[in-house]
Amino acid sequence: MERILKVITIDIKKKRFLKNLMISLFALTCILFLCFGKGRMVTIPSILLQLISFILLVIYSVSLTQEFENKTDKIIFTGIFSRNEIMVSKLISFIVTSIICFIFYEILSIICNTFNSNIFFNELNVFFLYAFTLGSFILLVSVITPNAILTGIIGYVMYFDLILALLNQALESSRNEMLKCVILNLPFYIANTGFQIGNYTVHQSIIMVGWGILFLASACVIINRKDM
Amino acid sequence: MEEIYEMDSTVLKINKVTKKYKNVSVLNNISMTVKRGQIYGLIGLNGAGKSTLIKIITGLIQKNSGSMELFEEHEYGKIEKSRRRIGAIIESPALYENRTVYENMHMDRIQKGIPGKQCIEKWLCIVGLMDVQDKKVKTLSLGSKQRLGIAMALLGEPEFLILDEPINGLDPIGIIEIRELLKKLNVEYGMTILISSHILEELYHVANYYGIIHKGRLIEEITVDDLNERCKKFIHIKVDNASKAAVVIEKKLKTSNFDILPNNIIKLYDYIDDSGKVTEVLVKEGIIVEQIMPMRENLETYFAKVIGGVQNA
Repeated sequence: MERILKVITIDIKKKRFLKNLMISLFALTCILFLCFGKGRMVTIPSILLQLISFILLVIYSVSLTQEFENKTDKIIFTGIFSRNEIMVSKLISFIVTSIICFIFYEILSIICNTFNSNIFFNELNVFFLYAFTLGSFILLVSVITPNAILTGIIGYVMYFDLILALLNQALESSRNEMLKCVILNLPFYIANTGFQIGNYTVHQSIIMVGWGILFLASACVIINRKDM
Repeated sequence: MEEIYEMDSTVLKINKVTKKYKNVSVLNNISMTVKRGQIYGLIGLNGAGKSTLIKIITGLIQKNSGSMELFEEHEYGKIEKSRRRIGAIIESPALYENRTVYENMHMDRIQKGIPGKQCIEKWLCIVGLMDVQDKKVKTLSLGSKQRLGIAMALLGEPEFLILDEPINGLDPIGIIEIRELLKKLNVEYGMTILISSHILEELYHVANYYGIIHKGRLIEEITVDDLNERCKKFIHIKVDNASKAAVVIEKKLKTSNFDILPNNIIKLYDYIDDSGKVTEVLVKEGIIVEQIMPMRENLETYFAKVIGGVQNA
């Protein structure tokens, strides 16, 4: 039990992780208030939600790749924890980051009078699944290309505007039901479309979890075979 | 209850380990043994395969073939567990440059799952970094960074300390400090140490067992006593005219077992215990002997000979 706890907290405890995240979110919220003022306060939570997806992408992209770039991978991968445990601890830190962002988002919603208690747990589920799937994918990319910028770009291309525009166009123009079915079951399509509206269906949730596990397992296999 | 180990138990045993990158063989059938309490000096030129071997031991890279025993465990899972008893610096100390000395230690402590913060101060004190614990790592000298790296490797009081080129770039004082620290860790804490370097002279002062690695092969394993035995003794003679002295040595002492070096220096490998006679003969022939003393070839010379001469190296 103690070991499991250590694995869970390994990444969260270090590098002033929580403090830096809180400061960034607080600063961002202040900037949004300054920019939009009292008149358009209701729009602030939705803007913050959009920004959070990018913040999460950046944090995830940097998390493991910075260890490779700083050569501190030698520290983390020669410690008492196995490579799989390190990957899991990274993913848990991603989920914790996402939950903190969620709390911030909800507090902001309360302040801006847009809070809806009926969808609270739905949104919590969305943040959790988004972090799990995107985080697993970013971990997979990070172990293949240990470069933060490249990882970020790949994450952006695969999950954000570019792929969404492409997939939406394909959905609209294609008559092939098979292709539509494939697109609708892709995490790259589901993740951000669901995140922005604050809801994943049960089917989508299962798909997200399935892909997340697949990405994480692949990342673990690769990291275990990787020469540092 | 504290485990009691036999002093001659094996900490590391490597058998016919091979590592290839694409088709290039970096390690070729390496076999070596490190026993408890040894300070094992791994000597090799840059690119000889020292770091690769150390990375295999610490689990950072996978070997292609061969076997490895760590603390007498040879199953994969058990070796993984045994690695928790190792502290290591590989290539250069891996440090977070924008963090303080203390923070680096703290992060490493978390990574290693070591309870309690007291150990940080203990090891910082031992390596002499207590005064700079609040300084950012990027402001430290190379020597201090190396010492911090060693302190981090020492967290958890490992039984087996692996240091890859720990004296690289250190000034003479720093080298002496690190050397003394390693001896202290070996004697007072009973740590077995594997230390690699291409600064051969330095290993000679700290290690008591040596492995010479060259082009991916372990050419020789040798104890410090055997090394001393094998390092050739000679008489170092500085004269006013080396070529004239060489003729005299050949004719009067009837030996050609000597080398002529620049600056009128002769290395005579015979008459080791009779340098008085050599002086007498040379002086008699009108040669001014400026300096004469028995000496021993150092590790560097021996190493060059073992790997087939400096030219081949």
